[in-house]
Amino acid sequence: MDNQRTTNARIREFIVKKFPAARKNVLTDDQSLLGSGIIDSLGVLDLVTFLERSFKIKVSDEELTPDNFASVQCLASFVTAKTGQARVSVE
Amino acid sequence: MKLVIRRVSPVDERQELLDLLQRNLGVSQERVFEWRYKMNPAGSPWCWFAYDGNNGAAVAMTSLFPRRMYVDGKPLMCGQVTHFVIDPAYRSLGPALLLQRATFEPVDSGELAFCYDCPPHDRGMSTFVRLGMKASCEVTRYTLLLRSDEFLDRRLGNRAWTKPLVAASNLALRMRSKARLVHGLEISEHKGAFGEEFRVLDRRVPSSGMVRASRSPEELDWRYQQDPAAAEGVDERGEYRVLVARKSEELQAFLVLFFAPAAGVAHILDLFGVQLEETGAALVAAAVSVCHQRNLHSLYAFCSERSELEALFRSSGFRPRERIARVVAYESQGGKLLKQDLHWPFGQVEVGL
Repeated sequence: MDNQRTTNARIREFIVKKFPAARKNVLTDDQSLLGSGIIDSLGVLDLVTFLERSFKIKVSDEELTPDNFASVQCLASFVTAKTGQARVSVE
Repeated sequence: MKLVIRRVSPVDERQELLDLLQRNLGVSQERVFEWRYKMNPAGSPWCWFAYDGNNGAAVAMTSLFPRRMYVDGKPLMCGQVTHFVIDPAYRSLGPALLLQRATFEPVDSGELAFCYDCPPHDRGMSTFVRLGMKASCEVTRYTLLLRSDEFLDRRLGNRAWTKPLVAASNLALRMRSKARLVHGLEISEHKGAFGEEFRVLDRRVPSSGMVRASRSPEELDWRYQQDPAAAEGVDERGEYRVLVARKSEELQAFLVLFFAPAAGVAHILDLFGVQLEETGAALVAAAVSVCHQRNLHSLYAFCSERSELEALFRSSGFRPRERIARVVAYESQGGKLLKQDLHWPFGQVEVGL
């Protein structure tokens, strides 16, 4: 649970720092990132680079869906699932 | 969310295709379907749908239309990506990437020499950035102001004292665009089907070291004679006019004007020929004269940054405005066609369909 909260915080911090539209109001974990225009498709590329570098995961084209990138919460769940998979495959 | 990409027949899936386009483009494509999907002289398009794996609904699509091009002097069949639409709930990079990759299939299988897409804005470049692809050229809109009414109205308002100012300004704009007489060059309007002389011109115009669209009479007829946007009986119908420049009766160049319905503007859609610094300038001056007769307020033109048309438009009084498209091309791995330092003199005819 703590790990998940840390993941949320790191993703939120990146989005607020990188995308000016996210600074207009307090960014909540369930706020829509794509629909509200906080992040556009070029922004998704920046976000992917951040996730891959920060969490040591590889994001495939098929995973770049609104389900995974809709909100901070969706992103954090996606990262948690990916890092969990990585841990299982290492074990 | 799992998406499945499948190649479909645009004829068999006509209604679903039209529904997708209507949902995402907001205008009915019924009129243009026959023209774009069935009458294209270069052949039938490839078409792909993205289906939602959960409910089987078609949620995105794209089409790749074959086009005859010249690449470094060689006539080759290429493809242009158009009708790239994704339902709002599925708009993300993933579905766009899957569809974009699908458009590479006819190139990888050797059916096409290369394919290209013309994203109009930065967001449209995101799939190509992810795929590690760069733009080959950028196309800019140029504007020539023909009347100052609207321009001065916006700045000064429509008042009694502004009327003489507008009249003087309009007179100055008319004087600026006097017809250019070139010895032995005759400018006239071309009506009816495009004949064999256009094929001869297409072959005469140099194409080595560059990538450009072919202008055969079949393609020109399809594009300008059969376009349903200018068909009789259509509401808000546009109109094409073709001006030709001849020397000793031999076709030297042509210019295609499009009058948009009720917009007060005309577009130079194509300007093509030999010795364009001379023939092109005379055709542009003739086009300006036609626009003045119609009391239009602006004439638009389009060209890429390295096109010979750029200097021609500037010297004719046009000013560059916004970028309307980038051109991003794909050829299969190991292909050498586009690796060369080719020149892309693209205009509206190459980026529009």
